[in-house]
Amino acid sequence: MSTLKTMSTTEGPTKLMPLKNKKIKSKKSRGLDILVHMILLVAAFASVFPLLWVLSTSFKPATEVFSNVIRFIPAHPTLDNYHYVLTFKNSIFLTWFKNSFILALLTTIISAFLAATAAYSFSRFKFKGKNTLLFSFLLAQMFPGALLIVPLYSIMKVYGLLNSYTGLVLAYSTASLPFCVMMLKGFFDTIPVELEEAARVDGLSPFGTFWKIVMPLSLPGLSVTCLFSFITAWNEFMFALTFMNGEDLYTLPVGLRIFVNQFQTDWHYMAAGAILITIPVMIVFLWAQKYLISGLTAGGTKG
Amino acid sequence: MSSIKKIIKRFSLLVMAVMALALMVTGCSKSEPTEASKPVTITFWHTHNAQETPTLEAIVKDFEAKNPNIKVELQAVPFDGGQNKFKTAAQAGNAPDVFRSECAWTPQFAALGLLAPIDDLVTAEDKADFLPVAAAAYQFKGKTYGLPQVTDALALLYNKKMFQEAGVAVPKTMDEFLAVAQKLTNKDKGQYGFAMRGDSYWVQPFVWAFGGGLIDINDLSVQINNAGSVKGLQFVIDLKDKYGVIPNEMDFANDYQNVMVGFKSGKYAMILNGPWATADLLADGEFKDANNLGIAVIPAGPEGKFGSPMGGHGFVISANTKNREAAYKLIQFVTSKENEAKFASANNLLPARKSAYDLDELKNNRIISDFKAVVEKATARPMIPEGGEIYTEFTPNYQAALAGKKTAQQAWDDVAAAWNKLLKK
Amino acid sequence: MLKKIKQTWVAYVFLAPTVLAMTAIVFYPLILGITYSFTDLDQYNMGNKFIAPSWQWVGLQNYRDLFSSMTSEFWTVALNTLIWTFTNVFFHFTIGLLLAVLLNRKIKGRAIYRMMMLIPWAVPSFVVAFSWRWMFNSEYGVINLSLLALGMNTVPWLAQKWTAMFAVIITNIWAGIPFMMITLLGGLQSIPKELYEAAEVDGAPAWQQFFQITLPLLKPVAFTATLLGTIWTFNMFNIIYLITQGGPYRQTEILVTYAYQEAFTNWHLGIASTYGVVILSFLIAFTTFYFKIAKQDEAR
Repeated sequence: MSTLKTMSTTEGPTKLMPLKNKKIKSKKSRGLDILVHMILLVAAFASVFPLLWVLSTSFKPATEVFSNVIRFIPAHPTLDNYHYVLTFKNSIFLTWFKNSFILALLTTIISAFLAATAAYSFSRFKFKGKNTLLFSFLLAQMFPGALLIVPLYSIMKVYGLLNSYTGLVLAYSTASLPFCVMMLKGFFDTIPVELEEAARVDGLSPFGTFWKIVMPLSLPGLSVTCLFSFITAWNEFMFALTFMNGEDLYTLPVGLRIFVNQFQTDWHYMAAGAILITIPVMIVFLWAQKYLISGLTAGGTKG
Repeated sequence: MSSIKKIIKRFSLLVMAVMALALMVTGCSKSEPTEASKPVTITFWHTHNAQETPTLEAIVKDFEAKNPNIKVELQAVPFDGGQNKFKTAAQAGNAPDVFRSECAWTPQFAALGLLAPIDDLVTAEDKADFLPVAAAAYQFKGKTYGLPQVTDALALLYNKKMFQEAGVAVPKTMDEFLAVAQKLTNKDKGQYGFAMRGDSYWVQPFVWAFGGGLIDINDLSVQINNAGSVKGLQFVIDLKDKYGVIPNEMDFANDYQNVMVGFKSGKYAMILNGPWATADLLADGEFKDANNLGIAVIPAGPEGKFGSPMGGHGFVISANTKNREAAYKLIQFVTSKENEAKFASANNLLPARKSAYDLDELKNNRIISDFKAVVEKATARPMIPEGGEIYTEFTPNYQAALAGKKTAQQAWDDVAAAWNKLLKK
Repeated sequence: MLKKIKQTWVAYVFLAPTVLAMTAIVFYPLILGITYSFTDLDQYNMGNKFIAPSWQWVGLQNYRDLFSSMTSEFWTVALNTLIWTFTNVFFHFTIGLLLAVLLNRKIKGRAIYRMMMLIPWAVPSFVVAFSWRWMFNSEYGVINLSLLALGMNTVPWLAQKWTAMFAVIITNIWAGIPFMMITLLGGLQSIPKELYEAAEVDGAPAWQQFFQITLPLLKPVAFTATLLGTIWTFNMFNIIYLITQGGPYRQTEILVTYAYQEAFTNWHLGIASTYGVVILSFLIAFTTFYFKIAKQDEAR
């Protein structure tokens, strides 16, 4: 086992590649691949199915939304819903989109920064109150956040953070911090301290080793936390509704709620809006998964 | 030097004269001179849905054109969550000048001190013109806090064609209602005479019809578990279990949609619903021909008692406003008879003003006129600060009774206990 | 000696921004929230710009009321919460792990699979709730219509307790798998391939590699993900609230939906905070217990 340990310390995280694929595919492995594909197909279908209904509804005129018959392809498909959602009120949807995007992006950056620096502390240093502090991060998640809106609103008002990106970004970042910190701490823990000590000997400052050695090696962990922060901010409703006054400051989830009326919902519009909201997240994911799955061995060679 | 002094003196006399003139002119109107001349901005949060908003926006533009020194900042707030958004903002002194408040929200806002009273601004003419039950919702402890914009009530909606084919007349009493429902139920065809919701708002007419009540607004005594109320609930339960005229399966989470779809497709001959449902009903199905939609007053109970819960929206002015009179001008304008009529024609929202119904465009609108008859007889729900909260316990117990988990008496007793606790607080 | 001091100083500097943000935005309101549970705070006495506050300390009264007045209801709700939480997390983890392992293989189109399986996470939760509520519609929902087409009886999904619980749990499982899957995938990435290569050379079969290499090295990530997953699911009120509103007749209520009603419908902030503290206690107990298990495991 000791050889394995040495290997893990010098090589660092690498891409997992089942050896089987390197050999000529045997019948058995091909059968396995087919099984894998089948399972993934079922899972993919189950994941996508409810959204397929939403997609189909988004192309239906209002009259077709409810019927006795399951109809995935609308009888009279129309682009009117999308047109309406994108253009009503002087295309306010685009303003909401901009707000959501900026907020989510800022949240991701700030979360990443705060979480990485904090996780580094927890991973590398021993100090008084370390475990208590870590536990308190968890504690923060345990009390239902929705119940804290009233005190939080007053606090935001006092700090002058209402109606501003800053207030929401801070609220979102602190909400996603516990997960990000613990996730990154775990990743940092797997990076051997020797790498940093070597870099220090070479004259790199503490922050330098953090930035140049540790961070690149944690890209998979970082991309998970970034994705997490992005999605949390993108889909959040309660805080955005409470802290932002004025429709120009609404985010997409808040804006979309305008289609939920007192007694019933304008499903056709909401469906179109929902599809439009989901697409950017998919794009972000496409971008993020590059780092999630990439096999960066560069960090290992520096040691 | 002295000539310049003279010029300055003359000039300042001129300025003073102009100012005096201006003061005289503006002083003639009822409002304070300062408010009329300074440009003001009124923030206005509304809860209209996507279809109704353009009507409001046009009216507001019209107002700004007629009042060049008042600018209105109009913001849409989702109805779902609107009450809390206003409260949270208002508690911190951050409320908008004007807010579109649902009638059940208003007593609570008033009790919290978040609204500005407007008794001194409402003209006697206006006071007389608003439907009394609608206007009462915007009064609290003897003070007026808002003007009603739209009003609604539950009506008995029925499929005229189905009635004709079965040869039945519109029921006026609960007994007739039961008979009609039975005649129109055909289990083999999957057709039911009536469909009910599992939402306690919908059971209120039955409670009132059989002589029951909710909460007495004068002494705050709880009446929901008195004999009449229990009879009302039992009647509904019997409709399902004993007479089988309403479907057995009640999908409480989806029932609003299901009842509407069933009604539109001719599965149900009668339902209870309000004017907000008109657009949906006329879209397609049995009521594409609007003449097929029957609108009647909910039948009365054995002792001639009748009730239909009144709802609606109106405009309130927040206590932290700095421009109360300008704000009042705005809400008075939006609730004028012509403008309320606009909401009726465009969005099927019933005006809260009697005179609006006399305008031609509404007089000739059969659906509006029919609903007017219903709304005139609407029953005020208890206009207490807890007016919205009573449904928290009301609905689950109603559902439990419908599902047979509690007897009618048990269910209403539990509701009474919860309400007593609520009111003590 | 100097090096050590210098080191700790660095730690504090690195921690400072986060601790500052957390204190201002999380800990302070949290402490406030907890103190509310010892008061009778509600919207009428909380005071606002126009009325002076008039709330009072009531000590443990709220707690006594909670446990006594809803004796049977409280335990049902607590039990619901436990069933809800643990069923969800169990399936989130097992299915998430399975999918993560599968997606880690080099197969054609895995990027597309990954993207499709991310969709539940990408959709805002109220759209999730409304879509599934519609699918479970007893008359027009796709699930019952399919059952009918297959010649089976329809199920009154949201009209009865256990079918409704099933419905909301399925919805939440569907919505929560992507997160677990992505997190575990990230964890799988940090396992060096050399370990597998060496095991291959040693002739170990796939399942043995899984249990002896994958699982143990995945433990830290799995621990974090399941711990936080449990905490989040325990407090997940969105899905249940939007699908059944806690119905039918309160049968699918969990602690947090109860608390939410008190806080946002009734604005009984004192009572809502009491629920918050009860939830907090449950979760502290669980976390402590979970950490203990993890430590014992490590010791082995």
